Amino acid sequence: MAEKIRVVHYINQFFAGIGGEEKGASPLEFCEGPKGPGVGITQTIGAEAEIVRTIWCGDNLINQEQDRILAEIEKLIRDAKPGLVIAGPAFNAGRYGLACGMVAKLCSEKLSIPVIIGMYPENPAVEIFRKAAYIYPCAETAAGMRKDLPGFARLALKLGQKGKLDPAIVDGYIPRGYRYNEYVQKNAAARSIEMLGRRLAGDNPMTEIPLRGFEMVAPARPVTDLKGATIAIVTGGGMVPRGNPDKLKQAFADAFGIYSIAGLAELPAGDFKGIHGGYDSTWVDEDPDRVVPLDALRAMEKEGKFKKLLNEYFSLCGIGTNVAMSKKLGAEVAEQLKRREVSAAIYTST
Amino acid sequence: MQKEAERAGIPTALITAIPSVAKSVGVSRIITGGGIPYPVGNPSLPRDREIEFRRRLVEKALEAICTEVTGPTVFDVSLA
Repeated sequence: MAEKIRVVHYINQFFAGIGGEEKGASPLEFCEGPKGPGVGITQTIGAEAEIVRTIWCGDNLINQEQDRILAEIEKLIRDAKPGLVIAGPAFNAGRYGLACGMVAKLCSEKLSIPVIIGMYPENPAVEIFRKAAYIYPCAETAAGMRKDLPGFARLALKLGQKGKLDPAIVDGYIPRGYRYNEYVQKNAAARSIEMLGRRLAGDNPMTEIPLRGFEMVAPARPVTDLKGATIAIVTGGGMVPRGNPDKLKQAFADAFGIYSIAGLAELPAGDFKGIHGGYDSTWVDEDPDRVVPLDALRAMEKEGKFKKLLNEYFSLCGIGTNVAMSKKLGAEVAEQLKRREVSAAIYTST
Repeated sequence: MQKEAERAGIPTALITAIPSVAKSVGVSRIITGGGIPYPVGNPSLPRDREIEFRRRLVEKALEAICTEVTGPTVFDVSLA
């Protein structure tokens, strides 16, 4: 029987069982054999592939000390001599997705080892890394693990066996944007007429050139008279008055709150609290100005740097909000800013 | 969310610790913040320096909204 393909698996602190957001700075570690989702992956492809090493790192740490951590990961991968690297699945976790993308880039550009990532198609890391690795589309949250893992594992095995995958429409991974030529019987003129005919008949033939990517919106004109401007604060960091009076959701926001800062020179700790489910709020609870910079803006308002700081700020928890909802909420915030004659707004995100 | 404000003609600037994501998504004016759980701060700094850092980030954000940009642009602030 052929030897099993050696696999290295990259995961994060949460799937390694260390902890959640509060362990975002947990160090790079590894173990021999599978861990976390690797166990599930082994159940599907263990007859032909073996996870010889699992590597994990805190999501915040790898993002903040990329060069150092990736250098160490490179060594750990090289030493394990794998024929395949698997990263994730990261679902819609942005920082974890970025981490997987960085590991994948390392494997494809420096190590020439086939690599595959699992994540939700709207994960921001997909756009950044789609060319660097095959990305298997997964559910938005880890609730989809059971459903997604077998397909992910099987595609990973195929990649390990063949060194590369068939076109995205065949193998089901997120299209990477590479265009390869292939021969077909009919020329473009014939194909496009045929497609038009089908569409007119009510059919929906797949386009040959799909448009994709985040919509780019032209930047608004800059403020020309700062001294006469009204400035507002909008935060995705989930800083709200103690008790969360509007019962804003900690993730998957579907509404935002508007809170008074009239008469406040800074956001007092204790009266305001971070409720965002995607980061450890210890530091912003200690000093809410770390995510809603009221103290700095008040001081500058007093000094006349701009005319007025709006007496309210806007808040929601920006985590897992899909694009459609973000657009809707964004437009509503914009409407409210316009009604209050705001000239410009400072947004903060975590 | 910011793109909707831009679409409505309100210039905005974002303070975030992960400018690469903001750039990729198409945010126009991006200021690199202190850290993921503290975008407008840095608890590892002594208190007075952290307040100064916050001030500089906000000043840079205001500078950014007064600056013409044609696409996603990152503005950096030094800790020095």
